[in-house]
Amino acid sequence: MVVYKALLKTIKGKMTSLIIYFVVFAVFGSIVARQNSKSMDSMFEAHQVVIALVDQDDSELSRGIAEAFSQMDKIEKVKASTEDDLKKLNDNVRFDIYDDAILIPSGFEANVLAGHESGAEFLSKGQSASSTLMYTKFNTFVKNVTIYMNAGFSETEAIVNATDDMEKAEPEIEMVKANDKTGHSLMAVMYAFMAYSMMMILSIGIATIISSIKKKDLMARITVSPMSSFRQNLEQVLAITTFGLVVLLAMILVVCIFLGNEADYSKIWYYSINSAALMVVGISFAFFLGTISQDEGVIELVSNMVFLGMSFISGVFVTRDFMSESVLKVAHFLPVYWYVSGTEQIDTAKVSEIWGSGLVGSLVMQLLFALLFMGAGFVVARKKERYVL
Amino acid sequence: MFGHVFIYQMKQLFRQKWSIGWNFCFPLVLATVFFFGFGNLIKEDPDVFKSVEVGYVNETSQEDTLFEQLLDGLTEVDEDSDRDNPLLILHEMTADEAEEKLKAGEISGYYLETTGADSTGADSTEALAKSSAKVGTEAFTEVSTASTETDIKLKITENGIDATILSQVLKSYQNSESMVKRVMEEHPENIQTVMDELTNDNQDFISQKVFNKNVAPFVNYFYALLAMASLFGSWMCTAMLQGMCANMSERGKRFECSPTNKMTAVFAGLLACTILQGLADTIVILYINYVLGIHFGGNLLVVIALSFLASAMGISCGALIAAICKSESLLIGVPIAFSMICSFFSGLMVGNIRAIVEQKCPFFNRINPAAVYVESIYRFCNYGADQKFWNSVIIMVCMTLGCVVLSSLFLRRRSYGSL
Repeated sequence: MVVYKALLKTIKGKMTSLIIYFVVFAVFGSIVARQNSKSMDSMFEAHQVVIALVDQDDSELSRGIAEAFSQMDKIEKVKASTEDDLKKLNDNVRFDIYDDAILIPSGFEANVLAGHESGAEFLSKGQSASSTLMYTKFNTFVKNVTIYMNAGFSETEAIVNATDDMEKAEPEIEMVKANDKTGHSLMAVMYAFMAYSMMMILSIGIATIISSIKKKDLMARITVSPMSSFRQNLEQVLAITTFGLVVLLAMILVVCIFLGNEADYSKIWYYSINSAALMVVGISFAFFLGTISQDEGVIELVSNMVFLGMSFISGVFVTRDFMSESVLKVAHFLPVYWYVSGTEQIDTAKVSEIWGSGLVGSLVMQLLFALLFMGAGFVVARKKERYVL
Repeated sequence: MFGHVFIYQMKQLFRQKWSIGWNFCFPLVLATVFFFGFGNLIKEDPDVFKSVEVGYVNETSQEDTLFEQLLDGLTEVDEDSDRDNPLLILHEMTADEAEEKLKAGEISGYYLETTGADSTGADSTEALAKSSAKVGTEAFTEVSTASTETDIKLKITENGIDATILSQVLKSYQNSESMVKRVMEEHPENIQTVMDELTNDNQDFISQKVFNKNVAPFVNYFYALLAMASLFGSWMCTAMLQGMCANMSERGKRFECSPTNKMTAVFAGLLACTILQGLADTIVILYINYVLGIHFGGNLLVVIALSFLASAMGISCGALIAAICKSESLLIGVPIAFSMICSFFSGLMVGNIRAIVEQKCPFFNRINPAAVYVESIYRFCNYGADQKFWNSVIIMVCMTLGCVVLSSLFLRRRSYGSL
């Protein structure tokens, strides 16, 4: 197994790059999975909004507002007196440090009691859903306080009553199971994210193996060796397959370690079969790339451009819900699209119905892409050999 | 001599395939994939509130209940309000239809209003309101008790902001019910005032503060992309200096033997790198603005000028790295790690990371060249040339000069006994 061992050793030279892509998957994959996953809840849980509150009035009413909001949302009291402070607050809202910010100016209570414009303002990311929610809550509370006061209650009583009403309101809410569950479980998101790193690692690792074989000096030595070409090719295929399987298993291991007990493992075999199909695509693309160029820099550059593009368009980094129809139509011509479709089909179907969910079609499409790259690689290799001869 | 070295460095840099690939093509490809990934989100902001589609099933004996009136009120947009869309889009339907549409995801939820088990028919707050002006206090209490027998249930399929909005609507209604009961108990003489004010929807106690320019937050990814492209200049610079140092390459040995003034040649090389990198960034900016149609929000010439300054900063950082690092592997690894780590913390991979760092450790944002560049371009495009914009520009100039001076100190007075 001389050739087999030698080829696996050549990958060691690229170990730093491969580890970087592996770490990218392990760290970012688990973060993204936790951010983008949606679980099916059996009980209603209110969406908690993080609100920055600038209270320059410090009145009974403004403190009442803070108290009422803190029952439902997370309130952070901040100080902002200058225009720069407000810009900073605006930036924090725009970049999701806070969902919204409420600015209560001095004189707010007096204005409300006098029936004038209150002067209260809020900062939000445009007309966001969270700001709509906050706006509704704010208006409801202040309106209730004023109504109580107009009905003959004192200000303190009005605030206490309005807060009490908010606290005691418990709507009856029933969760109904939807027909179609969207494919965003922890496992599905993590497996989808695997696509980029796995393709990069396979591409760089295997293309390095193939390009090293194609180097003129090494090729000449291989040609004059007593080992049969069949044996050489067999060991080359074995080395490439071993590398591919090691990468696949390592990635699956990372998924299990990073998701721990949080994920549902009942479908892991199906996800792994889908990933194995993508592994074949990665190997065949690497073969194609390795036959085109022997320059390691070019291999890394082209791999990055191709797989980064594929991953963005196919829904690996950005969920497909946010992407335009036309982009998704183009993505049908990319293997990663079918891989992501596979993960969604596995995620949405019951375990017993996975094979009938369209997964077979996605696997076949991936394997067809693998055949296409492999065929193109053989054509390029043959042309190059003819040219050399 | 300056001009001679400058022209030859330009020629040499242009002939490096990897330089063209990483510094010119890669940012264009990345901008394109960002566009396909986020472009939709920039043009149609996903955070913009879309009215919640909700069903309403009335299984009470009344045709137009107070709750239904409340829901109807929420389907209209108040002219004085900041809001463009109504809170709800209401669909009245039967229970079976609502269940079907909810499960199919056509509505976010539905309200089911039924007659309470012990209701006597006068079971709504509307009845309470109508009788409020005519009957005595005891009757108020009686009607109020009956009104609580109307059951309103909200049915949803998943948690989230839409479900919370629907729940909040129901809460508001329950608040009003509690209020009416309380007023009836303690100040019955004012019940009519309460009912009038409850039905008055034209009260806005808070309005939205809008800064002049609110460029979509996703554009920040493109700012970070420009920062990354500018810092890629450090690779170009290390490669250039490799060819000028005798301990790095054969060409370096020949260069060190030549009678050319070393510092003049190094500065000519730095200028060539800066111009090339600036050109590469300009192409990316023009591509993003005119081809992808994503507007930065500020004057494009200023953005280009900032990118040249950022390129100079990236190149000078590269010069410092090349002056400090002596091994060939470090000269490849350090600039890559430097540019990628700085870009990450400026928001290339996680859009709000710069804001998080600003909260936790603002000093890091002042010394991270990519974050300083993104800050300058962000400030300019969103708030104009304010004090913080100029602070960022000054930091970039200081960083550039500092790195050039330090690298000059490291590179000067190098002499060899033999080569």
